[in-house]
Amino acid sequence: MLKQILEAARLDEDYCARLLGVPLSEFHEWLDGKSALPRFILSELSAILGHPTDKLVEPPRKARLDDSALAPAVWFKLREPRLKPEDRAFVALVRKLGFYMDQLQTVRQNATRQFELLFASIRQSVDGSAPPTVQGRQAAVEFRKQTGLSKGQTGIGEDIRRSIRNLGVILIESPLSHSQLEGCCMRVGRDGRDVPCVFANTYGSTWFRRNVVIMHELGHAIFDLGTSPVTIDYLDGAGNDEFTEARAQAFARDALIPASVLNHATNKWGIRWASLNPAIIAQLMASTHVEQRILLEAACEHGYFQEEKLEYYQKLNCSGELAALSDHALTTEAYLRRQPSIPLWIAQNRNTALGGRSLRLPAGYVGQVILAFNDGEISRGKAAEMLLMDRETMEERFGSLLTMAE
Amino acid sequence: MGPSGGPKLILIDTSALLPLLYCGHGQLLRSIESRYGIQFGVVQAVKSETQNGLSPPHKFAGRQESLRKAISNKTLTVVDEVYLRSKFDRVGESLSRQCDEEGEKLFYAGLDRGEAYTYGASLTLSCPVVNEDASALKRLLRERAQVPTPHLRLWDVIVFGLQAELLTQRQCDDTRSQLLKLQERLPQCFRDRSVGDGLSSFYCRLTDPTKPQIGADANQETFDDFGRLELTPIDAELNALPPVHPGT
Repeated sequence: MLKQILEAARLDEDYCARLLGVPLSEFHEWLDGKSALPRFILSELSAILGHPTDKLVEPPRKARLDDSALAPAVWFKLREPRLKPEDRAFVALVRKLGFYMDQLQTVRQNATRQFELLFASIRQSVDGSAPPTVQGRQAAVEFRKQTGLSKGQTGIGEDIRRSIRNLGVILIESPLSHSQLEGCCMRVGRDGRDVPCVFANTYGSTWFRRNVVIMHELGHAIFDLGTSPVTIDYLDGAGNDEFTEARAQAFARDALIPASVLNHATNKWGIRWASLNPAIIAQLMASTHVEQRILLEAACEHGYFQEEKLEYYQKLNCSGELAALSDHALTTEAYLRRQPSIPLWIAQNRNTALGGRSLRLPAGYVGQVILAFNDGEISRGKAAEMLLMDRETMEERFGSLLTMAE
Repeated sequence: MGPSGGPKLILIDTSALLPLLYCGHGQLLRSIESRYGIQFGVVQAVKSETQNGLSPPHKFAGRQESLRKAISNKTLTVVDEVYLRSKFDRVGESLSRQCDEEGEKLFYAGLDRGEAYTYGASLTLSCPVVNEDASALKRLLRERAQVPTPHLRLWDVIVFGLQAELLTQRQCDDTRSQLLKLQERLPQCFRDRSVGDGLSSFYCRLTDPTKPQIGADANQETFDDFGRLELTPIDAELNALPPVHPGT
């Protein structure tokens, strides 16, 4: 059955073998039914495919079935023509990481599912008959209130990642080159214990843009993951259906830059909206943590300036001014190097590659794996497994930090 | 799982099997099996990991054939349902399921795939494990009150080979050099000294009571106090076997 499922999901067999860390010959024996799928691989395979383990071990169907009857829901959606095999391979890698992140939380006994209550409470606070944009705004108000992010009326870009992860949501920011995928949201982890996973593509993106992408995907996680196994957003702006996109975008914008934050910035910096220039826009971006386009759209909608000026303001290039004002305008590597609280090794050693696809592991996750080892909660081999790298690579990169007495 | 004379099966984890095969000690395992009636075994996950670890780009690459050979000539047995059925008849199926269930629990409790399923089988079948990673045993001890004893290391097998005259001191030193070159962890006593020079500080956890004892008499390292395993030759005549030559 596995062979049929992989074909229907458009997943390359050899890549899957490498991703699972099993020899190609052995994997092909499983696919061809020459030997049974061993128990040791079932849970990981099930987590990656999003398919229950008992279905994986079913014998192949004799009758020719349509792909829609075979491909797991998440993979059926990922067959979208704009997504390339490399994109699907990357999603599989993200799902594998989600499987191990869940294990790490369990081992460290800091697994939380706060998102369940929060998301339910946000959905309840929203008027389901209202237009999508209104629903998104209502949800944003509730989200800011319940996570404590509404205090201070300043930009929340530096706090959203921590807040989202504290809810138990997995957040991954990693470069995915030559892909149309800008962000996506799906459930990952073990069957019955799965959690939402928000992914933002950092390739060619800015931190300010990614704040919007992350919150947009979180909007999908709140509203749409119950009915759809995955939501995909493309660089060209197209995504899921119009309703869900409008709601997620309104949520992102109002969560990041509600009228109160614009008011605060206006007063603090004495902004004269009728005569913006690159320096002022950069100042606004640096303090609100939002990209230029969304910032100006929000300000225009709240009536800070006439709509005719929107296009002109959006075309102003303020990258030079922004770089002088905010470290977040730097590349991720350069930014991390400047942060005294972040060890250099995190900035340099977080990339992992499996089966030819590369993934940047979340810094906090890498740190937690090392802590878990040093606290005796996981073995050396498990630490390597969780970091999706072999032991040699782990020793090379983190050997000096692995200090548990053995 | 063995008769009163001692266990008949010793499981090997990937961390110990890779260097053993890389250094050409497949024959040593075979000699121990024929002289002492001890079968070395691996779980499927370890077989899979080892096959990968012996392939490029890994540091133990180049000895893929040794694993295939060891399994085909029964030097190593794969401890799976087929094997357990052959040994325990009908009970084999439920034992196999139990091994897997224990393995899965340990996998989610902080052991890697190979370790988890090896210790899962070891706890179910009550047989010792050869594992180079003490952190796995430490983790297991936090998880379970009782663990299989003694805890064997790669060097217990090699020094046992020396004591049993299945290996020469030179062969042991060659192994030490090969592993040093690969930056493998060695026991403290062999890090800066040859096997001959460091032997007096090495407490070997695997021993043949019919042969003159070598190594330290008293515990030296953590887990030495978990005891040592005595293997007695099944046939005294076989003691005359010449030392094996790694790589052959």
